[in-house]
Amino acid sequence: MQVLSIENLTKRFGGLTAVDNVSMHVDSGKIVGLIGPNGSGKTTLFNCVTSYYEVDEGKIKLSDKDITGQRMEVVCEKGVYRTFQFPRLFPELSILKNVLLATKHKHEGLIDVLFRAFSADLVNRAKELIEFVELTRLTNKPAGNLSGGQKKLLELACALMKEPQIVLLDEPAGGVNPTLINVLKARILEMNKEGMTFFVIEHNMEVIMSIAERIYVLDHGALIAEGTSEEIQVNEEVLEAYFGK
Amino acid sequence: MVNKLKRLAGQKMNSLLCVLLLVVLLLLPLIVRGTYYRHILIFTLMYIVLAQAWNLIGGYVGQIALGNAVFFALGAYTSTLLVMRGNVTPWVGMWVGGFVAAAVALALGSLFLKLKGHYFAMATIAVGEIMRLWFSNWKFVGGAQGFSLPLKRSSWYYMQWQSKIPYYYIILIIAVLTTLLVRTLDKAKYGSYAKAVNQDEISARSRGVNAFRLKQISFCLCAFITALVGTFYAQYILYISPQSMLLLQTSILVAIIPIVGGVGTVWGPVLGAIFIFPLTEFLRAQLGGQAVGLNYIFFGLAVIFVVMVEPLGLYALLQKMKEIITRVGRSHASPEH
Repeated sequence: MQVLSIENLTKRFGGLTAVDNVSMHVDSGKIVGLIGPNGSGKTTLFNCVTSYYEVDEGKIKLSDKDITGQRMEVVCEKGVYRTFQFPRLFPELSILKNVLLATKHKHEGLIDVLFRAFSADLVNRAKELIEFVELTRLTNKPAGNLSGGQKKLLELACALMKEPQIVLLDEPAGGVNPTLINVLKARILEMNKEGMTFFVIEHNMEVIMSIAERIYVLDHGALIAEGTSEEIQVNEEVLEAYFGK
Repeated sequence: MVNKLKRLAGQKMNSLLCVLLLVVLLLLPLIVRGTYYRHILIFTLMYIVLAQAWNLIGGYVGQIALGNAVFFALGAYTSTLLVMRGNVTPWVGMWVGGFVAAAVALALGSLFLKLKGHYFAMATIAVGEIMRLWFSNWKFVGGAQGFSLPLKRSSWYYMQWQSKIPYYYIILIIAVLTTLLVRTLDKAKYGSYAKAVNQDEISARSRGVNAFRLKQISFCLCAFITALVGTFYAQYILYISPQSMLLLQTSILVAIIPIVGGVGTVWGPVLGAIFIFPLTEFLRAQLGGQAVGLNYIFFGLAVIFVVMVEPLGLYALLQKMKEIITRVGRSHASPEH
């Protein structure tokens, strides 16, 4: 079953076509990779899916329901959770609060938001997730104190808190030391085993080739290849995009 | 366990301090006897409420509103018109004014809350100026001359007294309730969501937080509370006009108070008002007669000085002092010493 399907998506910035008539899909319970040289349109594609950018042409469907052009928070509540290339956490809020903020907001009433604190169940769940990403001793510290790698781990915990249908990870291993990369990889695979679907942009080939079952390759906004990691590694067009003729 | 006990002891200490503060505030008008000083007390409390209201939109969700005088005036005009034209008690008019202001905030918010930073500030300034010109030329609201409220001697129905003491206690109750409300909001989900929207709106929205709704709620609450004080002001001064109610200075002052005290905190507006309002009065009394605007220059310098010493405001300064005292106390209690 397709969780996310992108149909003929086009995004232009003036005369520049950043994403050019791209179609792809992500099946439920899978880890799908998205690679390509710098400026190939990977993050722009994520930005279109999450409504950070308005789509010029094409459709985005979540479990067969059209979510194109819906507000960012609505897309998130429907089940698309994303992380950013440079983690966008709330530096002055504690790690616990950062995770709690990713709770489901769909059924929160006005009174609930204004006068009720996060329930003990939610707080316990958030603490479990913080433990899962090995940040327990920092639970009440401001997120601004974390290192780059720890921030990426915290974003994973936030994604789990939301329990979305799909998680879009934008360069989870970018700027992270090798030890933490291993922790990150292990956690992603563990979450995937429990049924979580991932769509991952990654420049670290070792990481993406080892976790993704299928990979899409973008170059200059266009889809140039798709296949398993083995197929992608020997694809001439992909090699040309990365290394030139 | 030790940390838990420490936290409990800290909470008890804070509660004790709050009770003490409340007792002092209750006894204050009996100690402070001069009419002028009582007036300063009343206005300080009034600015605590106005600053708390601004703090919700400017401090928590980070939309710098510079047109709160609009809501202040709406509260005052609504209750005054109701009492003058319909003999409706200001106790009811106060709430009607609050709802009128909240409705106007909802409408203005739908238009302007998508603007950020100085664009939103400029839009709110423009609304204030438009309303001042409009009210100055609108006979139904008394035009530029405004209204003098009919004198009723001492009357609970008309919320008028010859003594300042009832006014003091009324505004004290409003100030305490408003501070309690802000404290409750701060501890509730609202506090976390609002701070998140303030720090990074895109990130908050990408976590599913409806930032626009949160801003609208904050703006409406801010307008409602500001309008309540507007009614109180009208009943206390017994004269309202566009020139006294719709001043840009008022809008700026209610923003400066929490900025100096500590934005996005419960106690920042309280500390800010206690520091700022008596200071403006003192400078006006000492320097106002010597040269035009001299008191404003000194006021500006004092505000710049405080903000330079501690950009996060007086509340952060107090917290730092508290930490130093605790550290010194701990080092004295340790066996090495």
